[in-house]
Amino acid sequence: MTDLSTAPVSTATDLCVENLSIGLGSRPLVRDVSFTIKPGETICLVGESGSGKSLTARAIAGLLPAGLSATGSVRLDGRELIGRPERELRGLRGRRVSLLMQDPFTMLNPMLTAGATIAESLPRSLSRTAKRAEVLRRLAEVGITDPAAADRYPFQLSGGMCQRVAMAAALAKDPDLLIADEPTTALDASVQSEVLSLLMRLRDARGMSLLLITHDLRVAFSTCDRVLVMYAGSVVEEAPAAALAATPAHPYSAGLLTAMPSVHARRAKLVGIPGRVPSAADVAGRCVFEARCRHAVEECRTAAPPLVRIGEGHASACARYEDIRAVLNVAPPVENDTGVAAATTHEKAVAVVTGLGKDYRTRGLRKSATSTALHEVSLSIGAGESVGLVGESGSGKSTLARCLLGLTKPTRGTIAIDGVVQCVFQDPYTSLNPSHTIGFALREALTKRVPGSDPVDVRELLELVGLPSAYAERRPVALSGGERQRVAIARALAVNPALLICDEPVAALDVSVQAQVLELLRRVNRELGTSLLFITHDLAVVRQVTDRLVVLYKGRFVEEGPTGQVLDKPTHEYTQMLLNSVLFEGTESNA
Amino acid sequence: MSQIAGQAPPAAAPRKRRRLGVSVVLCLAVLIPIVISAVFGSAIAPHDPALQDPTLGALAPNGTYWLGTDDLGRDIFSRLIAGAYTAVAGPLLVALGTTLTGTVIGLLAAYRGGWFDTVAMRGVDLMYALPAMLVLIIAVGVLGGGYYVAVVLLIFLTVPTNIRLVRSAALSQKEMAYVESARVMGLSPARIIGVHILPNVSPTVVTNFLLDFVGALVGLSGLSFLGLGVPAGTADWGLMLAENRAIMDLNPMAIVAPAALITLTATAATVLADAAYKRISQAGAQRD
Repeated sequence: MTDLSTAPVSTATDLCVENLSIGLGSRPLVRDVSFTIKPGETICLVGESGSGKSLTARAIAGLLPAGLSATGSVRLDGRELIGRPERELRGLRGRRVSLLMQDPFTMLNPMLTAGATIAESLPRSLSRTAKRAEVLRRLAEVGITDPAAADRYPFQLSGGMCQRVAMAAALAKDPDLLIADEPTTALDASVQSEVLSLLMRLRDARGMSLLLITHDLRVAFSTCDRVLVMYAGSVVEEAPAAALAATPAHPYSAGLLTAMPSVHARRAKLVGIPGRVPSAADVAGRCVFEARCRHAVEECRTAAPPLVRIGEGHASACARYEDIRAVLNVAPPVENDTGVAAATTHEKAVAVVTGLGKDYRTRGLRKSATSTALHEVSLSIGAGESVGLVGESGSGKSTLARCLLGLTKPTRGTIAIDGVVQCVFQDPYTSLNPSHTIGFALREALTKRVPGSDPVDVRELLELVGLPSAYAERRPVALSGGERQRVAIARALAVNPALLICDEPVAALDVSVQAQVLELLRRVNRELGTSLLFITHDLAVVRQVTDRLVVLYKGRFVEEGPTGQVLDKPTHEYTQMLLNSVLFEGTESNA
Repeated sequence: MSQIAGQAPPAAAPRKRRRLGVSVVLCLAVLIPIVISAVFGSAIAPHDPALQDPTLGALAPNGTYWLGTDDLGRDIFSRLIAGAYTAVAGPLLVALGTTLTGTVIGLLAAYRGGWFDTVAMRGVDLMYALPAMLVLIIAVGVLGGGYYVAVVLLIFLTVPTNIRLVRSAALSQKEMAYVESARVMGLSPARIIGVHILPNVSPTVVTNFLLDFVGALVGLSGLSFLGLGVPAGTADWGLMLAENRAIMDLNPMAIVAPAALITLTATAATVLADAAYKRISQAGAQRD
């Protein structure tokens, strides 16, 4: 066996993965994944949570969590990596294969400066001054030209800056293959597109290969040559990015594309994929997607369909591809929303915010500082209206929501609310009390129902949000993220609020589930007449649900108008910048 | 490991009853007989624990006196059974008292914040600065001693730790969206604290209870050993340890047995606390 770390290094690396399976004991988690990455090529693994995409990436880097084992073959330039001792793999990581992770804040050691983090991976033989110069050169390569940044700690840097530093550190040993696991998921949209284009530039300048892991098809389409769609531990479709966007060849990929909200048009109906992702162990010997597929027939249940080539670099694991290809890429109908808000007048306002401002005081050892989260903002929300509030992190959008909910006292201004306000928060995992059943939570909320409202019971509430009544007996731990968000919506509706404030309600959900929750919120607004204040950073999402849009930037409203109009013809430069950072969606809309 | 954690259990799976671990069974095997002895005391002892027979002197273990006798001829085994009362009752009172006050003050400090929190926490800091054992010895000495004086003092001295632990556990729960939702819904603070936060800090509360028991057991035994706890002549494990030092070479069991019982009881309760924390926290929001 040759020692990999001293073996002659070719400049171009060829990664070949064959029948890679990962299991926890006898329980399979990933099954028979095969693909190759040629030098300079970018491959994207796309999948929702539970698809096994991150495990696949970790197996390639030899970093599987304890207890999991990989079988099959991962060859780097013809050398087998599976089964190599840790010592040899360590010599390989960083130098040949490097890994970039999702969360920029926890990825960097908080006790090390940005410069020290990068220097750690540089050759030890360099002198101190040479090392310093190299660090600065590396930082400049990732777009950080201020030398002072090298002496800053992660907490002094923004998320985007941290991600750049992490990228410089991952590239410090000049790897031939970079595996990036959701590198931009935790970043704001405008920063996301910057970091992605930086990643593309670095890939081209260095000629390295890139394996990108993402849940976001838009990220895949705007960066990759080839896309592998993973589902429940298996690859269900492999296709060139453009072909996948135009002609998906698997019902799951097609479903994902349909569920993806568009910033260019409002869908008449948001269709998700019903059900939930099964575990790889439960779908052995059959099509992994069969249980959620509306095209499924008997033969899908009796054997696992293999990945079959259907075109140039295009393969699908659908046994019925030939029968259903015609219906797979039907563009969902859109509805006109450019004039909606202007046409409907809302005589009665449920919430009127006048000159609202909020300062935060931070007390240090010697001095105290005041930062203003919200300057004087004024907003009126009509009865039955759906208002979108868009802004990036730190724009003050959550502060505004917390003021409206009475969770924070505003420093200035007034809030007048006619009726009751309820909320749906972002994180489905903390928004329900884990100690109580769903029924308990809903019954408790019903005790606070606005007097004079039509009486409802727990069963009706669950039905309203599309959950079976048996869920009343369950605890949150037995529910998926999307189901928990539905319960959170049901709990808010139990009070019969005049205004429902949704703070990033779908940001933590998978695309297929996201569509269902958005459709539910849209129905709440249209059919129950509950006003919505929908807070998000995602322009595509906000277009689907709201009539009127307010853009918040550094605590001030910079643009306001009918959602369709603002998104199609933005007037403020900040809105324009936000729209320019929206990634390619695959299908150009005809709206 | 989002891949694994993200997978929900199958739809209609009945809740599985988890078996008790080996360590838990062992702990219960130690604790249950001790609790029974504490309840029934001399009624189940083979001999009268207070009956003296100076003619016997300190006997080594034999068929009549399983663990031998002390120098006044009292049966060691019977005295151990009778001594279980002070080994269980006092620590139980201390644990109940501290857990109750500690939990209430800790929850209120975390939820209300403001001046209440400041006063409570500075008070806790002050108490931390006091050398607990020294205060206990001096106070019990000055007040003339007595078992229940020591119990009350121990409650007072252990409460700060409980307040701090419960407060920090509750603070992290307070930030969770479910608490904010409850506030938005207009639920009363009492309900939010009692129905929403308390169940989610229960792992900390239960562990506190058991660990306070252990601390009090060791503390009270120590005081008895120093002659500051129970009155002389009482059957008490700590006091037996002190009294029987003189007959160590005649009947070693006279001090080995009470020492072993103190250690076993304390260890069993500690291991149980650990297991209880793990088990309860699996069901709730508080995880480590």
